[in-house]
Amino acid sequence: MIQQTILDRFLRYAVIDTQSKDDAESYPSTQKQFDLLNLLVAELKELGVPRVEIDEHGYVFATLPSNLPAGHPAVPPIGFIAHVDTSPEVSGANVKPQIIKNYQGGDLTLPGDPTITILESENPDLKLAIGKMIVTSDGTTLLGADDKAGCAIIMTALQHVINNPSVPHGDIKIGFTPDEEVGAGTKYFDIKKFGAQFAYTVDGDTPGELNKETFSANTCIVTVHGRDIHPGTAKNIMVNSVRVIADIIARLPKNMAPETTEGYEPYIHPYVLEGGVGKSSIKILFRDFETKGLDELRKIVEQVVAEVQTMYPKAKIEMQVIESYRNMREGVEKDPRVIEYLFEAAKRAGMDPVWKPIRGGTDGSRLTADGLPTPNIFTGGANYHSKREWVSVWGMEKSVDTVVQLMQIWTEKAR
Amino acid sequence: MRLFAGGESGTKTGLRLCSAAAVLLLLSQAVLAFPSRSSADSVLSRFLRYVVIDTQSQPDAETTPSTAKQLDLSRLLLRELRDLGVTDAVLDEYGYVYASIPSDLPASHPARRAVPAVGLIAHVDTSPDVTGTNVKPQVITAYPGGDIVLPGNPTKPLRAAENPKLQPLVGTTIVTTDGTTLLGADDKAGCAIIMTAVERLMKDPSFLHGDVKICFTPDEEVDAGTRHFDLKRFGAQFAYTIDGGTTGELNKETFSANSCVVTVTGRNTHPGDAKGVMVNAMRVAAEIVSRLPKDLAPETTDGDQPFIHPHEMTGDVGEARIRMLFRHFQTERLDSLKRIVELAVQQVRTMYPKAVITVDVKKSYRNMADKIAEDPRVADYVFEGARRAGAKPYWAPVRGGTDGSDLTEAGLPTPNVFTGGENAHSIHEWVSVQGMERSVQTVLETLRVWVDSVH
Repeated sequence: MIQQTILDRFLRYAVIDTQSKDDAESYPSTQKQFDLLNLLVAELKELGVPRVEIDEHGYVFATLPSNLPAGHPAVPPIGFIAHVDTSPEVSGANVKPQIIKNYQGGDLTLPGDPTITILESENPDLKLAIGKMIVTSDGTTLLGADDKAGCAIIMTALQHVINNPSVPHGDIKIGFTPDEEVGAGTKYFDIKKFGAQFAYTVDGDTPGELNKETFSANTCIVTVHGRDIHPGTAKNIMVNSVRVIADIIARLPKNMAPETTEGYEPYIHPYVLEGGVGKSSIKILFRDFETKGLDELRKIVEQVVAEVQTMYPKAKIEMQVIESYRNMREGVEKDPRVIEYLFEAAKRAGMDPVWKPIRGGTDGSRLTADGLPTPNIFTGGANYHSKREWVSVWGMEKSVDTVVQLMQIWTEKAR
Repeated sequence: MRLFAGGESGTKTGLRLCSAAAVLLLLSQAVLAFPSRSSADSVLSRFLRYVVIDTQSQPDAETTPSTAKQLDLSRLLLRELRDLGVTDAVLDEYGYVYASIPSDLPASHPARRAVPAVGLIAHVDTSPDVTGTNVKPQVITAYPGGDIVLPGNPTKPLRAAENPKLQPLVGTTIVTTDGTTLLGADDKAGCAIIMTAVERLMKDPSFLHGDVKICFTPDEEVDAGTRHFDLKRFGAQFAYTIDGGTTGELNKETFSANSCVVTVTGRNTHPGDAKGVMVNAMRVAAEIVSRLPKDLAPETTDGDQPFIHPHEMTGDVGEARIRMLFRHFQTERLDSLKRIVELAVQQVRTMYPKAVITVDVKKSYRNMADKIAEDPRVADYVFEGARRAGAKPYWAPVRGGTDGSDLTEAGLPTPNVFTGGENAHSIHEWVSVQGMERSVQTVLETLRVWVDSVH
């Protein structure tokens, strides 16, 4: 078998258009995602992975069976997951990857659109790549390192363990999924069929960064019932719920919004608005790394609603809070091996790993909530969902190494 | 009528037994049995015949008329017109009844060639807001004063305190509902008034008049009353809708109206990574609406005051849109409302410099007074007609548009005449029979004034 480098694989996947689509009626949202999913099926078979299947939703599940001798202590089956689709925000058609073999520092101009520049000042990760190889788009499309880097990393790691029988491993479960970018990556993910006891998504970015924490999330719906009547004869009768809802939104704290917060700071985010005189409603996201902090956010909105209620005593204002997802930490800390081993693997790969909180949910947070603890591993990519997306080939290699080390550590620790 | 000038609403509830020993007669069944006769038919008997026919229209229908049942009344009116000898009466495929009564002026009369064709218009449908099925009109002859209990809904009487227009009618005949439906005086009173006037024109050869054009329209209550109105076929040069309220009230002024769309373009990014980048268009739109003056809103204005009415606001982080109505009786001052919005937008721009905010204003309709002023005869003559009829006329502005404002805009100047009806679109709707009679007289006298004034 021809040895393929991580770069070969990545370039092959990146030029396949796999853009997903919001609000599609079909699943996966776009048929073209099958182009990469089917290629991965073929390549898995070519690598000699004995059990490979693709279901009607596009999920590719494969198992590389344990190579441990009989009598070896049991090693739990470990899963690795990446998604094949790219973001609907930026075109993924006709991707022309640009390889910079020996990046020397400085800004990067892209040949397809001279107005698009990757600025050194805005990309601290570029420093890590000086003297190394990086890949960009030509400036007219995204690159798709999110998450074709993840696909290439998992495939390359598999190739490595298959070609090196001396690397001991338990059952390895592989999952390639569609529609992650449209919030539906785990919609039909059958955890039981997948068969892993612990898993990792390979869908991060900065080399060395690992993720075991996500937001805890609730969704809040505020509905205002007004009173509609012909505006010509409305004096003292009409209650315009549009004005009421506007006064509510205008009073939400501006220093607690996505556009003004970062790191571990929580936010309140009004994101959908539907209003007419008789009835108006907004949807609001509550996000906090501490699940109990979500209650504080609810109280802030309740306070605003109470204030506005006094301005419009005849309006009827209702508020409803729905649980969305919980910080992955709560699930992964139940059996801390899944994170301890990952941290150790990254160290053995020569990285100085750091845990970084994710200001959002991941496919891993949904899987964790459903009983499959799934932290996230870096890929070396940067500037996702953008024409300025780029990936460090060194970062991808380090990720492959981390994955291989991880398989070994789970085996070692089983003694 | 869609829109009326009065600020009265008689729908408050409470428990107070009626003290009036009103004589309530349930006439509907008996009246239905009357065939259309050749002897003179009173405006009341016509009215009672029309209101028991369910003609409720329906918004957002794909057909015209929006409901087939409106044709039940349109067909009856067609037959009654023909029975009266109006031979060219037709019902078209959209449910409009057109008819004309040729001038009976002798060739020698000075007005014979000069008097313009004058049109009379009423609508057959009733409002979708309140049911019009099984209307049981209550005729109160010699109203004694005080509250009126509605037999089908005893806890919601028609209160004298909330209906000051009842007091002057003590001793006269009024018609109410039984409290379970609307009455449909809006605008079956208009239909009955026109038909009663037509009967007089057809039966009294001594009544000299020019060409008179009649139209009964469907779907006025769902804003489609003039959609298929064929002005050419109608053939009038001036017209009157008989679709007003309180006795004596005439309307030649409506709002002038513009609509305004404010569009905010923000910037959406993943909210987890949005610091310094995301611009939430919803927050921007909300700040604009919260800065609109609260004392210049439909809910805080009446009479001849203008308003700005944000009636719709939708959107998300990337883009949000506010739709507003601008209403002002002075067309030239509509722009001052736009400037108020622009000022609010300007303030919000400084708070959100990265948001792109556009303000787009479109013309809706214009105060019919602007066009009517070009040839004031149409207004002057109906005022004089109402005066001669003893109706004590006065002009009241309409805070809205009417079918007449659409027709006026389209080239047919069309003021509005009272019917004597009150509390339209409500179970408390009622009508003064004296008011309907005064309206019939007003119509007839107005036709006379048109003849008398042409020399």
